[in-house]
Amino acid sequence: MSGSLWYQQAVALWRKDLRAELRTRVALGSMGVFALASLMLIALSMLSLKDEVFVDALGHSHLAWDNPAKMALLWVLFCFAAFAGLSHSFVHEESTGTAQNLRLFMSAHAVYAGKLFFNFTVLGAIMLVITPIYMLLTGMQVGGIMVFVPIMVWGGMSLAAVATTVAALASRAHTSGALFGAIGLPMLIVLLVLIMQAAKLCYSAHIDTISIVKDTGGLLSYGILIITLSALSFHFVWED
Amino acid sequence: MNKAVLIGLLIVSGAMGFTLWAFSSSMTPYVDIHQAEQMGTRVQVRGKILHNTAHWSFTKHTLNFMLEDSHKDEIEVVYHGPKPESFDTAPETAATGIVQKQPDGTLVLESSSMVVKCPSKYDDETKSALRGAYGKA
Repeated sequence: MSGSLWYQQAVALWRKDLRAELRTRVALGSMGVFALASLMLIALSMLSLKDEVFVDALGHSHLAWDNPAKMALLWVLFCFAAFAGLSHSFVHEESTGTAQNLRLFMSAHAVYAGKLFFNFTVLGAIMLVITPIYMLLTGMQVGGIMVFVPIMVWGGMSLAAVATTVAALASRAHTSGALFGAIGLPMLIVLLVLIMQAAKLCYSAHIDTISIVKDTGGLLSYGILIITLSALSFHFVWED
Repeated sequence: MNKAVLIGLLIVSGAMGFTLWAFSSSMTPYVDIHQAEQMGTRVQVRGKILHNTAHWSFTKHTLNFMLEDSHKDEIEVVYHGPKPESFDTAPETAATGIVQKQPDGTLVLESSSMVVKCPSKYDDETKSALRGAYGKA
């Protein structure tokens, strides 16, 4: 293992984590229960808002709960689900004592890449199940498909990257739970602002190419920024 | 320097620049009245409230007043929303909105959000007035 290339090691770690997850279902269970409970709450409390209309001071009528607002609530759900489930990825290795083995037999880059792929896989699976159910319950539309798909894919990638980085930092602290939220919040705010900006574009009547490149590209570049910075500095956190 | 680190730093600087460019459109810049008229996008204009021009409409829920910036340019602000409590005593405000042309050709700042500056009891004029009232040097 120690003689193989870093990406081979990363794939091996991803497969190990995936097999362990399918056996124990710790992350999928906590994320799934949280997401389904939230969906049920949204379904019960928000359905009356679906067709509600308000009239502003200028006399224009608007939907009380429009598509960008529905998208915002969906991403709040994903953020909480990600932070509920993905924080275990590094903490689990430390608590079971397998982190030392990983340090001995794998490079730091391979560990970070393996954990990132695993978190993205778990989050992607949750998003694939939850998004259609949420759209059915709330009536959220796809809008511009050229914007909607990048929001979901690159937004999910960026969220997984933030969760992985924060999980790595938090696993080395004694009070990992509190630290997870404290470090994650500033990174999440930027991500959520970029997602909301892209969501507004997704449901606007006029979608021009520059706006698509700017708003969806902003999401992609933020994900790349977090991943590259984390990959460059991960060995400082990981190695003793 | 390690080649991988150098490539990483190049990617970081590129991604940071692009993210900042994308993030900048979610911010509303502070501009003067002349720039606000030219831009035609959502901006923040800071200036002095000309209280003798202020008018609150109960039926439309709008607050109309003239705003004067540091260059002594003036613009009419139409603020849609509840009247801020401290508006009548506030010397200055920062109104967020878009400058729009009215049917009669006048330019109006249609504002949806406004931050009013509280009158300070620590500024020079008030301090000297207080000193005078209490007979201190």
